Amino acid sequence: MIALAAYLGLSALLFAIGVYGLLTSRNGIKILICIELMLNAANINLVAFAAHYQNALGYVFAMFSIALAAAEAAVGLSILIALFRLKRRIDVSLLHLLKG
Amino acid sequence: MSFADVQSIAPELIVTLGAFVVLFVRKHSPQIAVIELLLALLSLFFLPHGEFFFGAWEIHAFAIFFKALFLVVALLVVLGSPGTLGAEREKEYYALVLFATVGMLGVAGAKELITLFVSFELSSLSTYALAGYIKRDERSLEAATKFFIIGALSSALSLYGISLIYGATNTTFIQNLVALQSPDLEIALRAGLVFVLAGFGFKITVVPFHFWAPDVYEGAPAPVTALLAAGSKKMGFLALIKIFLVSLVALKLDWGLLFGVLALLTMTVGNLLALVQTSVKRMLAYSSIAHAGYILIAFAVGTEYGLVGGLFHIVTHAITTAGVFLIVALLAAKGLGEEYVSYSGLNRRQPLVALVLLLSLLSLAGVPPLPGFQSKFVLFGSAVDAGLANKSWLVLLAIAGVVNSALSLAFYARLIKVAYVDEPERPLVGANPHAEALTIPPLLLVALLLELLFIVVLAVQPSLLLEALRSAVQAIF
Amino acid sequence: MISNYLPLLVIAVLSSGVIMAALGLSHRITPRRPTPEKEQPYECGETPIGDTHRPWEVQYYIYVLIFLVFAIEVVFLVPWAVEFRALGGWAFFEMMLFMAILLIGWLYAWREGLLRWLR
Repeated sequence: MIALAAYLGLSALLFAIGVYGLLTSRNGIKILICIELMLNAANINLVAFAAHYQNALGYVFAMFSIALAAAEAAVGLSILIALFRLKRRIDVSLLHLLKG
Repeated sequence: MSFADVQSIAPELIVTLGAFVVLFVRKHSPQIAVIELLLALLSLFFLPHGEFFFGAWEIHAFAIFFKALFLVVALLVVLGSPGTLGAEREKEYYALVLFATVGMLGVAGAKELITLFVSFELSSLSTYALAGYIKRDERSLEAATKFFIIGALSSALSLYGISLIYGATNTTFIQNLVALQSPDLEIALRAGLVFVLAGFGFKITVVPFHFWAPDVYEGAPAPVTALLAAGSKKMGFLALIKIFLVSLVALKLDWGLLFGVLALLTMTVGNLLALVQTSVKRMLAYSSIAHAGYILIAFAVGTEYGLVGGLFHIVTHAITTAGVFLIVALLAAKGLGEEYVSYSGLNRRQPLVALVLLLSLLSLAGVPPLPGFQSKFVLFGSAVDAGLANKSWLVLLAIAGVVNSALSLAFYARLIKVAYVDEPERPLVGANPHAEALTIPPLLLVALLLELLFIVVLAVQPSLLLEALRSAVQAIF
Repeated sequence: MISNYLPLLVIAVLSSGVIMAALGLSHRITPRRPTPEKEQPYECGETPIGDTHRPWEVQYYIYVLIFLVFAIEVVFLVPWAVEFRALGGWAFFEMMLFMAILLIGWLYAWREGLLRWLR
């Protein structure tokens, strides 16, 4: 057994990488990947806790969140395709995003 | 699973079925959607009360109240869309609105975090697609991209938070969320709650997480903006109430001050920035941020009376803001534009629209005796009550709320003045090919009359709604 | 115990070492006389046509989106199939309902002509 803390550390690291990538990258596809990274960090947490407690709820939650992540990727990809068809680029600049 | 379980999700089934029918029938999409929504509203009266699906689903006065609110908002949006949406294909639009509504209904019924999260995402994903529905409009697509990225960040944050909460408590059933597995896991629970607050904070546009709202509200088609401000945002509040009221009270964590500061920041920033806008849509976006601040006062107060006030304000803001956004949609669709000047002489163009606009804006500002005043009165009153009892800073928060309302009157009144006093900038009919005479599409007329009815009834008889709210709050407190 | 994973680490290091050694060695000792023709990307011995770095057809993504739904369906199907006997009749009904809903989505895509390859 690997200690629970190791899994939690891994997932925290993945989550932080995802947040960093989301805030710094401008490419739409890269942003999608970073979002997947963050969702999967949460999945690692769920599965690690489920294994720790011997409780199936965590596994079930992880399966649902995998399906949700796929749906989210599908919607995100569709929006990016529509954007690409119109503008021929998929840059999403952060400055533009933060303009309140 | 048993037959009662199936019965308990009747409204969701009806609306889902309606969405499928809309997808496969090429004509009359709005009419079908309206019928399905009315059927779902009707089915609310026949729902069995209690817990279903192994305790993952609950029906009580509180859940039914929110289901009714979401169905009414969806109804207004669907009624307001034909003739104002401006898209080539329309049936997918109505199907997506219905799917978003199913998600909201699911959040109202969820008693368990997986159900809550899946429903939340169903609604969010539908609204991302809706925001970008006008595919040839660059603004709409950019709004959708922004909305998607912010929304995905918010759902990732809340999922991470929920995973920590699950880790600390070994359950996803909301009523057990306080059963810590060991005392040293409390830090995980607190961290989880902070993540969830940040995640939902994006959805309800609390101030550090509000920056996306004006751009998205401005870029999205106006009927969709109505759904975002009146439906989607209220769903965020609902989820927050479900997770926080239970856990914070039971954990004896006092986050009142945190929520108080957030409320103060949110309403002040929203109102100040709304003052300087020239686009009506952006002004309304900031005003909607400010109203999120008012509603947050209920979380700072944390009493039963405070929650009644919060729910009351959720209702009045949802209905009036939906009405105003539908009027924005109408004027934009008729080529008049979205700036303040576009509204000049609205009273002479179309008195009914101007009247609904006038009453809705005054209600948003909180002018007595309109519904917005009634709900603010209960909300601020509960803060003063709680403040006099023990936490004196709540009185200051109530005063800040009153000052903010006075401030907000400035920009609402400006729009009213433009609509009623100013001469029309463009000719009433004719000369400008884009500014056609302002004819109201029949379904939108129904929506506006419903708005009018709502405002008048609540102004005269607020106790009707207050009674329902009391029993709703008693169901969860 | 973490030491159980030691053989994995050894294998990972060894195998990547062997590959890197082989690639590095051949890079060092092979003679090279490049001509423009040799520098071209390999396309089954033919002369390449067009640019390799062109974007995929947008149409392709729509197939991927439709496929994605059915790929993810398996996440729910497998656990259900494993516990089929224990879960019983209602679960079977629910699963059929779930697949019917997915099927409706697919039928919609079909009816809208999204499965036809447009050029």
